[in-house]
Amino acid sequence: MNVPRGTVEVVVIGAGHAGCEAALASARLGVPTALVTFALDKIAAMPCNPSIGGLGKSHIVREIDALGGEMARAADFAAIHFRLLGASKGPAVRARRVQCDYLAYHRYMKTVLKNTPGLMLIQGEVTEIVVDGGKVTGVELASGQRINCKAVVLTAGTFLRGLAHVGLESYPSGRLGDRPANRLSQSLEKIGIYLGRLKTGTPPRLAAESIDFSDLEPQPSDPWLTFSQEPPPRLLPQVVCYITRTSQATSEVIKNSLDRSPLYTGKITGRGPRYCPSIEDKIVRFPQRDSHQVILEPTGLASGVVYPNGISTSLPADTQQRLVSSIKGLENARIINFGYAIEYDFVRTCQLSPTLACRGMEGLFLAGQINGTSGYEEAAGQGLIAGINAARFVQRKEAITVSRSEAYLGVMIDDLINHEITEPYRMFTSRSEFRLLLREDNAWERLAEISERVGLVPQAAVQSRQAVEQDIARCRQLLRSLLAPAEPEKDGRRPTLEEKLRRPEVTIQDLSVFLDEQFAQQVLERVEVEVKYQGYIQRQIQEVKKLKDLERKIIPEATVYQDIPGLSAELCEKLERIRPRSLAEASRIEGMTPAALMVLSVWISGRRVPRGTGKS
Amino acid sequence: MNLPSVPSSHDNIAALSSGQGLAALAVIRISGPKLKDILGRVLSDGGCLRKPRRLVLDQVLDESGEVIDQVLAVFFPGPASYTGEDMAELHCHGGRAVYGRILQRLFALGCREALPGEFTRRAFENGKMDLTRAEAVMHIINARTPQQVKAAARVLTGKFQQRLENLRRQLEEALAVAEALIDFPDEEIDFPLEAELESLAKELGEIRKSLFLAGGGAVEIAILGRQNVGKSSLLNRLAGRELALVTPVAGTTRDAVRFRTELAGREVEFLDTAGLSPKPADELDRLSQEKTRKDARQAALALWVFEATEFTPPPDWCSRPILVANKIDLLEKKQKEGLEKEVLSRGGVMLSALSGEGVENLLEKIAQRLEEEFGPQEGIPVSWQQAEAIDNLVAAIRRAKDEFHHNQLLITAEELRRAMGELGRLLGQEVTPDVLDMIFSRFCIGK
Repeated sequence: MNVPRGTVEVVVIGAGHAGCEAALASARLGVPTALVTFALDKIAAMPCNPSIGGLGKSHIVREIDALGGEMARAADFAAIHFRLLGASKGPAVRARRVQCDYLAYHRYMKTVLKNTPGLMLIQGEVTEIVVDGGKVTGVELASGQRINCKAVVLTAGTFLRGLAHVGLESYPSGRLGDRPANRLSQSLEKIGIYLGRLKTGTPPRLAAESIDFSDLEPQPSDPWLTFSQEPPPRLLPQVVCYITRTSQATSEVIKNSLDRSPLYTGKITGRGPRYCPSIEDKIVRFPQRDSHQVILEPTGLASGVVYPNGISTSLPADTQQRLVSSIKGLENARIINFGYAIEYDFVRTCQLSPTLACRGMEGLFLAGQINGTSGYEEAAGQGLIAGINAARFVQRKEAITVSRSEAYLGVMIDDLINHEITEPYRMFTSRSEFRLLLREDNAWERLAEISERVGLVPQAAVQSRQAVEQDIARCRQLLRSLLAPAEPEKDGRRPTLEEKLRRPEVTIQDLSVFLDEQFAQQVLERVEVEVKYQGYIQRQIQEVKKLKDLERKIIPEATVYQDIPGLSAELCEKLERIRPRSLAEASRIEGMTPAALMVLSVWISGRRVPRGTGKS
Repeated sequence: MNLPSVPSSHDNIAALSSGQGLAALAVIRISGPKLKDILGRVLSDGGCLRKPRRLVLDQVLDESGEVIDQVLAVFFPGPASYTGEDMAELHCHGGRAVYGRILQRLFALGCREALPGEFTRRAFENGKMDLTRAEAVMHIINARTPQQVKAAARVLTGKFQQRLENLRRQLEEALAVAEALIDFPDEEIDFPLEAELESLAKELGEIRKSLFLAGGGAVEIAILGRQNVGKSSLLNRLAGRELALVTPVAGTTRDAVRFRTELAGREVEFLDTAGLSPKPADELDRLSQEKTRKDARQAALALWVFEATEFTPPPDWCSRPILVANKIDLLEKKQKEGLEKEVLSRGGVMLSALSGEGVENLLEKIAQRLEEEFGPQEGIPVSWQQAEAIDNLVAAIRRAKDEFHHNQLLITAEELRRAMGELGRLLGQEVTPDVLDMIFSRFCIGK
C-alpha cells in the first residue's frame, strides 16, 4: 500500500492502548495520522488481566475522559463486572474497577479507529525511524516502504527485543503469540536513544468449563458507576467472579521447581514489578503464608477463558499444570495458555521531556510501556498526551504539560522523567502528595482549562460538564445559606446545613431533603466530599501554591553548579548529574536542604531567566 | 513523594537578631505581609504603628493579656525596610526567658521561625540588595549552617536519638500499612493499625515529657513563702550574687525575679516571688500576690520557704512543695533538733540562706524531685523548631488515630505523612521514605 508523500503528518507505531489514544487524539485534532500495527486484529488487546481501573488507575482513566480520550468509554462499553473499591473507607479513596470482555473492548476501539476521519490504519512492521539533522522525517517498514511524516509517536509496548520465558525455555516474542520488534530497537540505538531492560509476567489462562466453581466464594458485580461522563449505552450483561486460594501443596510444587525457574536461576535479567509478584516470588519471600488468594475472572462473555488473578508465573509448563491443580476448584482445570515472563527493552526516561517528546530530537514522542510503565491505563494516559503534543507540534502550537498538582497524569510523567526506572511503573494513589485534590470525582474540574485549550472534547459535552460544575457550586451555596432546622443555637445562631454536614455522622442524604432543588447523585457526592474534607483540601491547596511557585523558578539549562557559592560538593555533584529544570524538581533531589534551595533561588533570580513554558 | 519543606515567601517570619545568651538587650526582627496585624495583637498599645521608624515604648502581652516585657518597638512600613516588606524590631530585655516568651507569642500569632539567611533572601528578592552582597551573606550563612545543624544534632544523642529512631521505624510501618490499605483494598493485610497508633501516641507523650525548651523555657522552680522569710536571700545565695533586692522591710519584692542555671544536667529557672500574706495591705499588694499564685501554678516545682523559728504550712493551692526551713542560723541547738524531725520527715530541708549552710541539701533534693517528675536525666534541651515539631507530631498522630477510628483512611495516611515530615525536622534530616518499598517489603500483596 503506497502512502503518497505529504498525506500523513503523524505516524503512530503500535496499536496498543497508548497507540490508540495517540492516533485518535492526533487525527481528531485535524492532523492526518497513520497508525501502524503488526496485526489489525490485535488492536487494543489486553494481554494480561482484562481489567480497567483500580486505585490510581481509575483516576487516570477519568482524567483521560476529561481530556477527550477514548479509554473511559471503551471500558464502559466492554465492562462485564464492576466493583467499587474502597467504598467504606471514605469517599476520597474509592476507585472504579471493571472486568472487560476483551473482544468487545478490541472491537469497540477498532470501530472507533476505523470511523475516525483523517486516520489511516496500516498493517506492517516499522523497522526504522528516519532522522535527519536531529529532526524526524519518516519511518521505514519491513516491506521496504517508506512513510514520510513530521512527527512519530512510538508506542511499541513490550515488543522491543521481546523475549518470553516459560521455565528454562525462552523464545523471542512481543506478546503471547506475536513476534517481537527487534530491528526497531536497533534503529533507536542508532539515533542515540539508549535503552534498558524490564520484565513483566502473566498467569496461565484456564478453560472455564474445566473449573469447578461449586464450592468457591462468588463475587458478584456492584451497582455500576461509569468511567466516562458521556458513556455509551450499557449493553453487555454482568458476570460473577470467584475467589479461591492456593494451598500448602501449591507451595510445595513451587519450592521443588525453583531450580527450573528463569527468575531464580538468573536467566531473566530484567527486573519485575514488586506489586505484581509472580507466585514463586510470593512463596519464596513470604514462606510463612501457607495460602494466597486467587481470583478467577472471566475474560469475556463467550470466551470460555478464565484469568486466574494471583498466580503470575514463568515456571516450566509441567510445573504450571501441577501448580494449578493444587488449587481448590482447579483440580481438573485445563491450561489453554501457559503463564510466561516477558523481558523487553524500554527507553530510559531521562531522555524524555514533560511533553513526552524525546529530548534532543524534534518530532519524536514516546508513550506507554516503552517508557517503563505497566498497565493499560498508564499507557493510554501517556498515549493521549503524546498524541496531543505530536499534533500540536505539527500545527506549531505550544505543547501541553500536566503538573503533578493537577492530575495523576502529571504525577506519572513527572515521576517517570525524574526517577530512574528499575521496575515497571504502576500508578498508586500513594505516589501523589495531593491525594485530597486529585480525586476520581473531580477530574473534569481539575483539567477543564487544559481540556478546553486542547479542544478534543466536543462542545456539547463541554457544556454539560460545565453545567454539572455549576450545579455543584449552587448546591454548596444553598448549604451555606440555609440554616439547619431543629438544631440548637451555637455562638448565638443556628448552624447552617454546611456546618451540620461537617459532623462525621451526618451524610448528604440526610440533608438533601432540606434543599428545594433536586441534585444529581454525582453533584451531591462531590459536595459532600468538599465539605467534609474542607480543612485538608485547603491545606493541600496551599501546598500546591508553594509547589507552583517553585515550578515557575526555572533553572537555566547551562547552569554550572560549581560556580554557585554556598553549595556543598555533594549537592553540586547531584545537581550536575540530574540537571533539574526548575526549583520544584531540584527540591525533590535527595539531600536537598532548604538553605541550599534558597541559594539556588537567589542565584536564578539574579540571572533574570525568562519564564520557561515547557516547550519540547 | 513527600513535599519538601521549602520556606514560602508569603509567611511571616520572626527571629532573634542579637542578644543570645545573657545580654542586657535583645532584638527580635519580624517581617511579613501580616505584620501590622500581628503587631497590633502582640503589643499593648501599638504606638509604633502610628509613628513609623521611631522607637516607641510599649509592652508585649501574652495570650491572657499579662505583660511579658516592656519593649522599644519600631515599625518599618515596606518597601522602605531591610526586607522590602513590612518589618518591625522589638528591643526587649536580654535573657532567654524573656525573648523566648516573646518569640513563642509571635509564633502563636502566626509567625514562624526564620531560617538562616531568610531576611537577607527577602531583601534580595525585593530588590533591596544586589546579588553580590546577597551571595556573600548566603555564603557566610551556609558555612555556618552545617555547624548549626551539627550542633543541633549533637543534642540528640544517645538514648534519646535511639528512641526517636525507634519511633521513626514504628511510624514508617504505620504509614506503610495505611497506604497499603488504601491502594490495595482487596488484599489481606493483617495488621493492628489502631493499636499501633495508640502505642505511637503513648511513646510520643513520654518523649515530650522529657523534653524542655532551650532558649526560651526551663524547668521553673518558684520560691514561695510569706513576706520576709528570706526568699530573696535564698535566690541571691543560689545565684551567687545580688539579683533580688533584699531589705529588712517586708514586702520588698513586688515582681518576680528570675535566675537561670543548670542543675544536675537540666536547665532550671528559680523564680523569686512577692511574699504571700493572709491579708494584702493594698491593691498593689493584692495584685502582686495574684501574680505570685499564677507564677507558682505555672512552675514545675515550688519551694515553700518559712522561718525555722515558726513553721507555717504552705497554702492549699500550692501542690507538693519542697519545704525549706530558712534562717537556721538563728536557732538554738535544741530547737534545731526538734525542727529536724518535723521538716526532714516531710522530705524538706533546713538551711541558712545567709550562711549558706544546708543549701547543698536543697539542691540535691531539687535534683531528686526533678528526676522523679521528669524522668531520667537524658531530658534533652531542644530548639524552638524541634519543640514545635514534637507538638505537631503529637497532634498529627492523635488525629491519625481518631480518623482511623472513623474509617477515614485517607486522612489517617495524610496525618501520618505529616508526622513523618515533622519527625524529619526533629531529626534534622529530610526523611522521604520510599513508601512502596516499605509496603512491599512487609506485605505479600499485589497480583
